[in-house]
Amino acid sequence: MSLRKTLQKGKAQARAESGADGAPPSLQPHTAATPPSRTPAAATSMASSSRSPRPGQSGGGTLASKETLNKERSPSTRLAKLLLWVFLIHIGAIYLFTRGFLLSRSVLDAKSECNNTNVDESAFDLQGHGRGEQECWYPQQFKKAVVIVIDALRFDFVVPHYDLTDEPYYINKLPVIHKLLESQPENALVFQFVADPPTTTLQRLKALTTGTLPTIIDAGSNFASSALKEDNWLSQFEASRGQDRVLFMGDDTWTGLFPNVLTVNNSHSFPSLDTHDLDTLDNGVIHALGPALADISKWDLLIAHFLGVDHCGHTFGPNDPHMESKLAQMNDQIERVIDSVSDDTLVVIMGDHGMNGHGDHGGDSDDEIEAGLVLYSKRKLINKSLMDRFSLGDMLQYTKPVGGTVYRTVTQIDLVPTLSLLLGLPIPFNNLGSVIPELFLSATNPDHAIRDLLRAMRLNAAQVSTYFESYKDLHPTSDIALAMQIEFGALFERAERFMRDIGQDSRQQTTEHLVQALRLYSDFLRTSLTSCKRIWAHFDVPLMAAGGGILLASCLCLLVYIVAYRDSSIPPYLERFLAGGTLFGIASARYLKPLLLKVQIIQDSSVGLVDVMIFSMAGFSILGFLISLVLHSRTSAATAVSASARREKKSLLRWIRLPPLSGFLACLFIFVNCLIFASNSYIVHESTFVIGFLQTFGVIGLLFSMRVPDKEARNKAVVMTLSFMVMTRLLSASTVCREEQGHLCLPTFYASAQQSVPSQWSLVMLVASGAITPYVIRRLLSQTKSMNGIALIWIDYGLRLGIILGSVYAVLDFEGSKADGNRNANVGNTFEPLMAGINPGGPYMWLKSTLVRTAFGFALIVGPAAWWSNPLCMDIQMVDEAVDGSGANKVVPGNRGRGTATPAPPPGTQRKVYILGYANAFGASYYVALTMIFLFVMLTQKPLGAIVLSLGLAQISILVELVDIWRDADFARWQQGVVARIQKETGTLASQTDLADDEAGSSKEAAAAAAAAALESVTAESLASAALAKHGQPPTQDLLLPTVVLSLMANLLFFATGHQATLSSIQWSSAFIGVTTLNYFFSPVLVAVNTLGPFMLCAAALPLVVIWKCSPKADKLGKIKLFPELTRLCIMMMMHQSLVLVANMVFTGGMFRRHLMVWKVFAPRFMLQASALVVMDVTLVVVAVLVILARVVKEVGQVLSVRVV
Amino acid sequence: MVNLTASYSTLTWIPAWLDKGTNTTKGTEATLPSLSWTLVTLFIFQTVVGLVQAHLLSSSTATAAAISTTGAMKSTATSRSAQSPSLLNVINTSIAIGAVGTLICHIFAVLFGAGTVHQAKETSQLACYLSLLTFYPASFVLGTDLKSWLRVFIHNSPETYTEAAHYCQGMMAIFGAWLGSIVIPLDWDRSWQAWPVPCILGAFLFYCVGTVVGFVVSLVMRQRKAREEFGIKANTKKGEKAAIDS
Repeated sequence: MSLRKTLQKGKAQARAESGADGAPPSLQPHTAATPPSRTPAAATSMASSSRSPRPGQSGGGTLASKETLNKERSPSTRLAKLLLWVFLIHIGAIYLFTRGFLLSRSVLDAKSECNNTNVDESAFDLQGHGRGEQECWYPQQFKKAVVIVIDALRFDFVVPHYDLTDEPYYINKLPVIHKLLESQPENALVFQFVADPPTTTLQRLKALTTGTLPTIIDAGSNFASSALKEDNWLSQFEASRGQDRVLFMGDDTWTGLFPNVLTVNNSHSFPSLDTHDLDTLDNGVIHALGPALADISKWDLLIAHFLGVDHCGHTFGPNDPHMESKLAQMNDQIERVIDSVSDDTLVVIMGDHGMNGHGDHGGDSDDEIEAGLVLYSKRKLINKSLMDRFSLGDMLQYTKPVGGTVYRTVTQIDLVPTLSLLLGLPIPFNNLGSVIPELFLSATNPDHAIRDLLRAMRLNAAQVSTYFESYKDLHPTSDIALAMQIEFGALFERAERFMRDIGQDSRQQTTEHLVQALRLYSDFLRTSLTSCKRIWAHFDVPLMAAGGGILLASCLCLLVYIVAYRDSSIPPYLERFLAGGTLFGIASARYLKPLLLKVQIIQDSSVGLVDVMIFSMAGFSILGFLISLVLHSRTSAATAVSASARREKKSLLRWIRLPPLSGFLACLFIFVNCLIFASNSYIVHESTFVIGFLQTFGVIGLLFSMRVPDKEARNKAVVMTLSFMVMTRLLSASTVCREEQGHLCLPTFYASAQQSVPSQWSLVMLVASGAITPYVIRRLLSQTKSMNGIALIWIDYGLRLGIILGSVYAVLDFEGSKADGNRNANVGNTFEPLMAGINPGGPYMWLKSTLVRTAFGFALIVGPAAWWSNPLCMDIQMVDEAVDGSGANKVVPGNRGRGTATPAPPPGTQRKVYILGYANAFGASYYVALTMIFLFVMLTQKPLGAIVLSLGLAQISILVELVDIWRDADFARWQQGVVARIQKETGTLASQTDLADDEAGSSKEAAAAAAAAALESVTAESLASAALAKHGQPPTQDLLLPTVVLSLMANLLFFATGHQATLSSIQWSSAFIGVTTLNYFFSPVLVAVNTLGPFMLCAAALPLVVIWKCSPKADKLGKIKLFPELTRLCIMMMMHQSLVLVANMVFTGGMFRRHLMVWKVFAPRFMLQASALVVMDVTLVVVAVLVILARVVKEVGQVLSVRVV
Repeated sequence: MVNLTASYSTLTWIPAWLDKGTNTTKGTEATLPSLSWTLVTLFIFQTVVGLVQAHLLSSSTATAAAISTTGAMKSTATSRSAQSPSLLNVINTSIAIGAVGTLICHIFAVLFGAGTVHQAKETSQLACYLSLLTFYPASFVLGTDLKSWLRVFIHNSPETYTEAAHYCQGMMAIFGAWLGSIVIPLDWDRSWQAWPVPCILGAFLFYCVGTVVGFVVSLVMRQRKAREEFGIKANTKKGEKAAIDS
């Protein structure tokens, strides 16, 4: 039985009973006596008291509202339409800007060929080496190669540290390499291997095989790797030796990249993202490696990719006992390989990238880009004495001393030409790397050695030059072509000229001249690479400007709306204008494009028809928006003139009126928030800045709260404001620091800076929060007696169970990873199959995922379904009250929502119907729905993140409570003013028309005679309306500041849930919450909710600012005005976030696009802001307005027969 | 007059202090002693100024009471009652209020993100400065009367010129400290960017601005008061005229 029916029945009953008694309906006096304004604090405190609509009107009212509902579209739908338009503009702007800003590099499909070296070698004899059997570009030095990729093998894992007393778990754990370096210094080489960002495996593999610089936009495609089309040494190897000479084992990213080379016949691939434990993949590789090493004649190229170290980093962080056992296992495998290879084999052991302090990677901090590279051969690999003799010092880069020694630093892509030439292959066409000089100096004769190196270097330079030439032919206006012209094109010519000069006379071919030539080529290679790194992402300025421009224009439109539409609803034909503008934009795009292309700058950019269409759609609909606003203001001005001249004057003044303090502060906050993007330091320290904003709001709020006239309310408000500030400070203490923050930041989110497991105390707190959070919510809702209906069921059972299930899951997860680790540590690196309990089918995994799936079910299916069927948090209570007011009240039992027949009231009493939860009819219902979103977001967080979100919910609750208290205070102040003025004007102090008394003491007068009450009410009402006519409307509080604060709170919560605006802080492990194998739908959703959940929560909470404790008391027309304010606030929140995005675009794309930190700091922040904006928009439009708000408004409106406009 | 001298003397020694701040290369460790030295100077200076103000107030009560309007009556009454305690008592109360103010400032600095343990010394230094610029000088005028504190600083309604001056100076000093924090995160590696220094500097600068603003405000107040008196007279005249007309 729904509450609505019960209520109607109750009403009917009350009417029937009162009719039977002949007594007047008891509720009438109160309803009539209150002036048509909002109820002040004194009245809301008797939230439970009797306020039901007049029985006589209720039936007609409902009918009328239904009719009008059919005629007019509901205001929530209209609001949703407006917001949807804003959202679409945002999407379009982001699309345009992104296309201009994150443009990917053009890929050239050409392949290098063996018989075309691009260089005239006849003129100059560089044939020092006689050893090559097969000659392609360069004599083949090694017949076979073994490439071992150990994922995330950081440089300091590899090199020996002699001076450490307290060794972390990852230092000195590869003794085999140390042994090689000591015993065979001319056969083994260790390099610091510097990767280019993004440091994700897919991008690194591309770079390691093609020698190119994958751009940042590829980073998103890590989930589904597609085949590599560029020229690479693996394909070249396959072309020259045949597919069956290649053998691969390991990560399936390789087979995804090279489906034609690595087929089922020659590869053992294992799923990489689906693996949960540290050993499955590695054990598989080790199993496959055994037979391969036993018979080395079967392959010429062996690739083995181990993933365990990377996984260990992600799961436990580098400084963990697991890392030690994992590295020990790797050590054994390296030893095995080195023992079994033949003399003509080159062994390459490398990490594809490093890992940061938490074991994550993706960004470009030093720890992430510095991997280790070890080259080994049983034949002599280098000639150490020659290296010093030729004084190549300035061509080479060295590390800072590591463990007492200095090592050579090479760029990751340098391996590509080196490997290609050593294996007798042509260098891949797109390669930008340069050969590693040491490896071409192995000849014993110094003259031969230097000639070898020069030959290799020249081939390499010629290849790079050819690549640039063909790039220039294809894209003559590109930045690369420009840079080639002015920066590095001439360097190659210079080197070639020098070669020709010394080539004519063999006497000039001294060692010094040869080294000089070498230096010239090296100069060319290095300069070109630097230029490419700088300009690789080719910025398309017109597209970026278009994106930023329409976003800014839409922001300005919204600003006009916010300023102009303070209390009127959306103009009637706005949607039509918007739709019309959009359609006109589509239609005119075709004709607009040729016009635009006449401009010189646009010709150079890659503007397509779709871009023009988006631009014109946005532009014309913005125009439509403005036209409709202007038209509406003219019509409303016309009516104002006919109504009264004074009002028209006021509407003109409205434009120049100074904003109130809170509006001014809101603007200030937004302005300063935008300025954050003016410097990379501010973006780095943004988490600290956000606290500054919120605490400033706290201080201002403290001032507001201390000015509240009512003492009780004042104390409550002050305590609440202070606790808001304390909570903000607590939240800011939970953080993962980004590398650039340095010593100014203390990481607290994980158990330690070197680990990525939660700390134990956070788990304890999480379990405790399962008890505390529902209790606090219960207290909050009980204030207005709103713990009824859905709230009773959901808060006490659903939410509590959900949180408990979630925390049990977190505990299981923690214990599981610990148990997993212990077993691993005991078992060490033996080839044991997986532990029975931990594997995907085992009972542990089953239990874990079932628990959290149930919790998700509560948050997403059970809760919303129950809420949808009956979202009201109201109930009715019948009380038999003694007529003489002796207080002998008696609650009529047995009819709380059950609709059973009730006995007639005993004589001498009057039956009254109380509606419980009336005072917060909208807010409580909305709040219950918000807690469902809260539960959903919370389940995707790490333990401390979940606690942080609970605190965030508490902050949101405090914020809306404070807004309500301040609103009441404003109203009380206004009322006092009115009373004072009336008293002054009439001068009748003795008259009983004391408004304030009437308001506050209405319950006392309940027992007064009906006639007297009616008379009084008439006078009171007429007086109130007279007061209204004279002194204007009661003040509408300006809620812009709370809106901006809510929006900033989302940022605070984002940082507090262990995120930063960097790629490496994304918590990828959340992809597996409740999902046992990687799922291409749920996993990305989970990661997205984990990352952007705070933005969802705060956006969804926005309508609460308006409707929390907003009394559903209708005015004379049966209406409540909520939507004008709601519209403004929704628009304000969207405008805040999009203005921040505009600032981001202007600074990132406009001023700093050549900044040193653009990819490290600015671009990730841009991506965060863009995705946060989209998520907030979607949450606001779909979840908040279209679903929750619409439902709440409809249900409450029907039950209480009011119309919300 | 007092305000002008205060602002002038504060302005004169700020450049000297600035020199000290920029010359030191070791950052806070080196600036801390100089900060403490300035702190003592500031304390002595504020005490002297405060005492002079208190003295001027108490001596002018007699004449002020005669000419004061209804608004100022209250405050003169309170200052008259506060006039009896001795000089030492006044200083003692002010120091106590200043200490409480320091504690409050410290708590708020921590709330705004200063470390609880890390750099607590520096934070307390800032708190001392802020208290010396806001709570301490105002305590000479407002005394222990909580209501007048609330009236001046929370309800933004100072009634006398001295109160207005203290109100403007205090609010501006706090605003300056808030504004000063903006330069801290920038990576310019200057010594004056070390933790409490920009906030203290900002507080000082805006304290001086506040002095000027306070002076202007008190002028405006005086003028408005005069106009109100005149306006009331005019109104009553008009009313009489209307009564005669009817």
